[in-house]
Amino acid sequence: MPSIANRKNRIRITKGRLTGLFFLLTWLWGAPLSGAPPATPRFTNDQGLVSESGYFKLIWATGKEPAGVDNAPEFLLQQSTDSNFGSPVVLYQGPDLATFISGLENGTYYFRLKAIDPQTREGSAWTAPLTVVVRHHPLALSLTLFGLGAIVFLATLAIVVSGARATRANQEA
Amino acid sequence: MEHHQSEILNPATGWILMALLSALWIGLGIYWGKKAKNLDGFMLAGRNVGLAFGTATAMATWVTSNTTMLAPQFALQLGLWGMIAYSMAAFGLFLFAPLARRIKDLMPKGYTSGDFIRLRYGKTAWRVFLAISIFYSFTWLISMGMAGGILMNALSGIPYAVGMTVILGVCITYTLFGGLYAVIGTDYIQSVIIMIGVVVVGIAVLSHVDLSGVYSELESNRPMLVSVLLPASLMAVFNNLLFGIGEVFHSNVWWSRAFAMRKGIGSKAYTIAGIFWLPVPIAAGFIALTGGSLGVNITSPDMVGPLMAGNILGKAGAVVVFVVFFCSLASSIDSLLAATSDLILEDIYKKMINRKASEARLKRVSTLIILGLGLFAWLVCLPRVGTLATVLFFAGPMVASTIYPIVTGLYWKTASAGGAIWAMVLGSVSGLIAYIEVGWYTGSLIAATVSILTTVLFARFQPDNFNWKALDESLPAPGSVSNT
Repeated sequence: MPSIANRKNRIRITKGRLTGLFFLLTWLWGAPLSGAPPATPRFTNDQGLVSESGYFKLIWATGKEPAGVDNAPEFLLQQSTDSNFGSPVVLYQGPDLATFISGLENGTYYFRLKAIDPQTREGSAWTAPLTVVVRHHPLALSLTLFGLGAIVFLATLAIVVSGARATRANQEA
Repeated sequence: MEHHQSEILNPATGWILMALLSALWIGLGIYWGKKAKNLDGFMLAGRNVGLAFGTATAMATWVTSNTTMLAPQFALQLGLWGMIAYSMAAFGLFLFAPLARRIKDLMPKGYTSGDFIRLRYGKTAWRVFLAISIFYSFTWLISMGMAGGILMNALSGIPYAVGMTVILGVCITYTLFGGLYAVIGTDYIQSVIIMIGVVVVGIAVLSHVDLSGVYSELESNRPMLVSVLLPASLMAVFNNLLFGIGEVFHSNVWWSRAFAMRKGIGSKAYTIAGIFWLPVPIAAGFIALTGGSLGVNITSPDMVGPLMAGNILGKAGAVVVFVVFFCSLASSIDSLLAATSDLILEDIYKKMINRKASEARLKRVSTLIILGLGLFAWLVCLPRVGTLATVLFFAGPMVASTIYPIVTGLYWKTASAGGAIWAMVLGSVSGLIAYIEVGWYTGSLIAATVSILTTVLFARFQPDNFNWKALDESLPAPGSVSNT
């Protein structure tokens, strides 16, 4: 049977090893590991964005601050009209942190994003889908304002042209 | 807020270009400024500007960040109609041509657009007008300061705050030295560079881009940009046209040029400038539509013009674009600084604060006003709030509400002070409501509609009988009503 002193010694050694292991794991957690996938980025837009003009801007941020410029991740942005991303369209791949989207028809659009390590090409997990609803202004309102604008413009033209003619006629008289 | 946009030129090239252009404009400004021997020379270039310089300054001032950077933004946001909507602003120059002749006839010794409103409608209307005009001048100045920072950041990675500071600093410096002589002189060179640059970029873009590929990409990925029924862009067409008319009709930038040009020149100069200006937003806007087919990511819509031009044309093209955009910004910032300082000097300092100020004193105050305007614009530009369109178009409703007080005030003896005041107040309020409730692409349209109705109703039911001679301050005050 081991003596009580030996048992205490072994427990102390085990404690020391565990403490060392703890510090090692803590260091490894914080350090950029070669081969480890980048952290999942996040959209900074509010969920459920509604656009009446058909354009909007998507903005995102890295999941964790990159250690340096060389380690700055690339991003892959996909768009789909299906929340399960059945047939996604790649909108952007690169280092930028935003993209401007325009010209979409009425409908609900889903966007997801992942970070890619530029050296290992390993990707993070996808973000949760961001939903954007495009609901254009009613066409009747737009055509009414278009017509109103045409009338106001023609009236302005008439005031200027008739005023200039009357002035010239007065000067000649 | 900046969201990292991949740039085309390296920062060192950007710094060199910026330094060369800054030195050139300051040097030329000082050279031309030597002609400004008195206050009339400093404020109105001796009232002796001819057709070539008159056309060039009108065209260069109208080709601004609004054209080279906002027209592509319009195309990116609103598609084909967006480009056309932007080019409609040429009507501002076309319709101002006859007004310029009328202004010169009625006010041969006038200084500012504020002078006209004060003499035509009295002090209440004058104060409302000054508030609108000075607010607009600030938004325009701020949008151009922002454009300078955005441009240099997008093309060469120079930090936004540095680029914005340099372009404001350069324009303030040469405007301080030379007044309107320096502004019109530099505008002449800048308009030549802009025209050559636009033609070079246009030809290069057409030879690099597959038009059918661009159309197919738009049709499949961004179909509403090629749709004639995109609701927001339908509303934007006449909104932008009326905003452009309002900008030109009321702003002292254009009135000071009308006063500065020789008799009979203004009308021709504004018409020719409008013809030269018309295709520029279409050419600049088209570039923005090529982004998708070329796979260029746009992080902010107001950066699309310089970014796409630089991407299509490569590094050499980016240098041309940098120079053209720098000129287009400088030619407008200097004009605005000079005209707004004239407005504040003549209408606020001279008419409200110190009526007996000597010419030397007025020149010193003018210097302080230019410096103050520049400093204020710099402070507001620094945080980069909103895009260029949202900043500039916020002034749209107010500007559009001044169209009819100006135009009927110049041609109708029946246009009244009450009509002018209510047209500006009701037009601005209703336009701002539309801006907030519907979108920025409706504010000017609603404001102009309310303004024309108010002006016409007052002229019909509470008519004035104005004596045109009261507008010429060089004549003795009229005692009776004229029948001219």
